[in-house]
Amino acid sequence: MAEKAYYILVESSTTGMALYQALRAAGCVARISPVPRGLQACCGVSLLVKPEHIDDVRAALDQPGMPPYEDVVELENQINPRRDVFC
Amino acid sequence: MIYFDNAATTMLKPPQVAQAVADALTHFGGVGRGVHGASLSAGMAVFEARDVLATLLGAANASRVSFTCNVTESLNTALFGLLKPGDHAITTAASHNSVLRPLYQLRKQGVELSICPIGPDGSLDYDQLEALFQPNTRVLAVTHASNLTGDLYDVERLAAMAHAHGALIVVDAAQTAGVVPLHAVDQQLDVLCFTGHKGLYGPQGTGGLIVAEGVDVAPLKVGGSGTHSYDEEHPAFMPERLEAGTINGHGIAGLAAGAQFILDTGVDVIRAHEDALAQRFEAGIAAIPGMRVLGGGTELGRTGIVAVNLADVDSGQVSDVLNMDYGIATRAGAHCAPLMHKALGTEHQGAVRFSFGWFNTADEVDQSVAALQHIAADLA
Repeated sequence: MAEKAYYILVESSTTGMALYQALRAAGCVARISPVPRGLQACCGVSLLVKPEHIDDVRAALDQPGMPPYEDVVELENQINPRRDVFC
Repeated sequence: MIYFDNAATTMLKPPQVAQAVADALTHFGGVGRGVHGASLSAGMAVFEARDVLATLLGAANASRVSFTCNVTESLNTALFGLLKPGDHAITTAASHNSVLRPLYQLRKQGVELSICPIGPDGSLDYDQLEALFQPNTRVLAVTHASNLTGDLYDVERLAAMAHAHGALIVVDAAQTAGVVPLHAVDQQLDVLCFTGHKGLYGPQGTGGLIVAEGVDVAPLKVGGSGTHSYDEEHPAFMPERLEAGTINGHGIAGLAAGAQFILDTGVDVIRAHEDALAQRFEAGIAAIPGMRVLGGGTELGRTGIVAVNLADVDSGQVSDVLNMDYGIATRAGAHCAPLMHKALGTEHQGAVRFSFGWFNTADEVDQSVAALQHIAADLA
């Protein structure tokens, strides 16, 4: 079964930077990633969260003062993250 | 060289500014374009620059800080983005051409314009200004401090006045950002325009504007934004709404370093130092025959600017002699402030502007006083 990933969608790259910093400050694990075009998101930047971290991230997103986000979308990875990366 | 032209550009800057620019030049990719490491370095640095400027200048948050290439672009953005034909705008004779010329152009497009006079001592009659408001007054555009005399105007009072008449206030903080305490939210400034290369100790080619929440400024330019690529319209959200094309990330990295230096040092500390130098200078030249100090008629005092004239000698000649014979850099001429010169009666003579900065010293001030004494003695 393909692994899943979670994309936090934001309105702008500035908001994405702010949210990234705020999540890191809250001890969450996420990284800035291009938005999969299939999500039809407005902004080209999203925050990518692995399944093992999504519960912590969701809890942090609900905290007061956290920068706004548009949505959290679950997607299956189309590229196997466990593939042999050495060519 | 003794550099007393800080009101034009601060030449001496904290060393971390140049270092930040050099680091940026070799590490930055596109700002807000892509998410590889080089792009993220640029994007995060620009975001942090917004954050430090929001802290220093009292923006509601980092997203309310849009970057431009200088305060002139900021003011053009604000004025063209807020005013439309049929609106009325007010400014004062203390304004720089970066305010006046956009307003003159807007007047040709159907915007009414009123200009409040300035007294011969640089003073502003607030009652006289308030009498200029009309039902269709949309914008009061004012300078926080004259770039010629350094005279400070009460932007908090002017903001309250504008709001009482249903208008917005646009503040030109070219001479005060980093030099005088400013807080856009607390002082209720709708649009605060700043430049990077003066009191913020950043590189030339950097500036910005802080727009209050709830105020919508239409963009002056549109185009690439790095987001919403399939929309025909430029993004409607701040700060990208007022930025089109790749911004000056390299310069903004330096601007952030300058702004952080100010936060670390303290605006009050910087202000006190520049005030002390200006007062020392004024005291030193007070006894020189024929010396006239311009302005000084406002109750809030001045920034670290002292503009002078020596008898009826052309200001260009005085400034040139200071430069060539004494190695002292000042600014002569009209200072892009034509109405202020008319108000002060110096339209033809101009003025020699000394503008002090954090990196100037009392010894440099004393040398400049001695130079003026020497020049004056030769005239006698």
